Amino acid sequence: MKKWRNLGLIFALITLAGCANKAVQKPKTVTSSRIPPPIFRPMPTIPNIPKGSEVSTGITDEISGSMGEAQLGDIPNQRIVYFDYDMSVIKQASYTVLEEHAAYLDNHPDIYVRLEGHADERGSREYNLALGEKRAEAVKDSLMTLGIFYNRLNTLSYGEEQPIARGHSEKSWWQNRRVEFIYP
Amino acid sequence: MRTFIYCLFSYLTLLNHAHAILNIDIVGGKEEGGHPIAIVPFNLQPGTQTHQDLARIISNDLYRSGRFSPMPRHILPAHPSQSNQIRFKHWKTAAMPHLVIGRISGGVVGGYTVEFELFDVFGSKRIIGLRYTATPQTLRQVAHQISDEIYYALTMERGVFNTLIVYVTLQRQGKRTQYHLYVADADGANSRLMLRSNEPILSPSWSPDRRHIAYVTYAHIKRNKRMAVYMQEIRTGKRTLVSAKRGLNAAPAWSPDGKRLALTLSKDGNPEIYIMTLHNHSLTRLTHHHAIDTEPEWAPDGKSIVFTSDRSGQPHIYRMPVKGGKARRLTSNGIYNARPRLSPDGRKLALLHNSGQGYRIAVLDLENGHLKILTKTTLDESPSFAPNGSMIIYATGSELAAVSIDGRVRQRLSVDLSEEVREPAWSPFYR
Repeated sequence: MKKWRNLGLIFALITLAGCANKAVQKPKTVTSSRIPPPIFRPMPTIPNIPKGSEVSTGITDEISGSMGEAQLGDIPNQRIVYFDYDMSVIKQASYTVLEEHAAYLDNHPDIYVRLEGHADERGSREYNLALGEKRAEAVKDSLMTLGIFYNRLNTLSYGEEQPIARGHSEKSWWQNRRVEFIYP
Repeated sequence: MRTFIYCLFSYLTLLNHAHAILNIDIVGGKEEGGHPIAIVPFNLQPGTQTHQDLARIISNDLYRSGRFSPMPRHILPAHPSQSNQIRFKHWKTAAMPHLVIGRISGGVVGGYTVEFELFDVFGSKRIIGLRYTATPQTLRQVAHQISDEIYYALTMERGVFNTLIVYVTLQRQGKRTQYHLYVADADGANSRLMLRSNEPILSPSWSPDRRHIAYVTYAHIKRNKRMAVYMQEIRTGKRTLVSAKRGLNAAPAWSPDGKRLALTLSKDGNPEIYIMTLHNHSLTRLTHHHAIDTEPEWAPDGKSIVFTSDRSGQPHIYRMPVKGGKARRLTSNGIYNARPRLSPDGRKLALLHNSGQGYRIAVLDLENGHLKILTKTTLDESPSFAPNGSMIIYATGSELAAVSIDGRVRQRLSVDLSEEVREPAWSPFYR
């Protein structure tokens, strides 16, 4: 009996070893890890519905207060800007969000932001990488127009690779056509 | 102790197969007259042992091409292995116009000798006979070479049985996703892991000498997370960073002479196509338009590049001379045309096309302008030509599929249920 238990253990070890790099010449594999997700990720709001009374209290405080260390509560609530199909034009409904983030960045001159651009799943993956990048750049351009120095605005596109919603209809697609503000 | 070693050995052999995750089924077209052919199990000389069934590999190869109907093994009327054992009348009665026989001798230690012969049954004569030497590791390759010889002898076309494919898989584990980049034989066997990452891997692209794969992934460069283009040598795993500028670094495409790489960069404010000379990484900008310009693909003569651009308001395919100049639009139908891939002779263009019925693989005949839609599914992507131009491999949903250039034969390449597969690319011929 002991022999079979030992055999079983050895088989398990071999299987586990086999689940790692299985190439004959053992090519080097590189693992890279994700940057941890932002601490606060709000539910997406429906576009075209005007923002209600949910003004971030952090921003109001900052206007009267001094420029200090960034606090989590200061970052604007709404961190996603949405886009129409195959478009990278900033929609009117997004103006308020952009202004809030420009104000936040203005009050925290040490802070850099990464603008992550996304697309819905339809069409070519590579074309969607470019579309996500164009969307991120559109947001970057708007923030620059609002006075933020280009050096603090990084863009990164994930194309269709990181959807928020995984369904195959417009119900999911609109949520994925977006740019997210990613703060350190 | 001997039992232990025997168990271990067979278990390890089984493990090898557990990693060949691609299984290929033909789902259409086989009823419409594949050419009948009889392939007899190869005779093993007494004392010879192999773990590969060569006749089975050859039979599957020819079947998968969609052009042959191999006779089921259990109804073969005889099992000749030498030409003097063949009674042609048996095969005439069975309505088999062609017959393949073979022999294997040797062993693991000294190497194998493999011989095959192809016969014209109704002419009662031999068409071709060849001998190969092989090791246990190269036996499958020999079988594929034999399939190529038979295919060429009977169709006058070069076979693609001894080619490779590269593809990306995605595995979801709760909230995490893990990506893998694999190279495998064109029949799905021998998959080899090239890269494992928690970040997306995209756009794998073969170098013309088949020794490198270029791809897109994400990496930490100068304390920033960036999109990056890498190239990796398949044999050694050695990776070289090609480009990781701010913004987009994407869509790598090797020139036919292997010395340059076209890619998409947005470093100048907008996605544009650039050409990089590999030995010194110098860049030349090709496109100068505020629209999206991406997905470059070299013409086989190296003189022009086709690419996707939405400069007209919707994505269409354009062609531009490599040394610069006017972009000429190639597609007119439909609301979405992207992801161009030229056939090896440069006369046809495979692309992703939508004219209101979903995103499908289509082929544009560049000489007469005729567009043929090849697939009926609606979320297709990433078409790639076989190096003989006869088939297109592509991704559909979370699986791979292949379709013959005339749309007649379709194959589904199924995988482990836990993995999604995408972004296939068919290798060039071995040079």
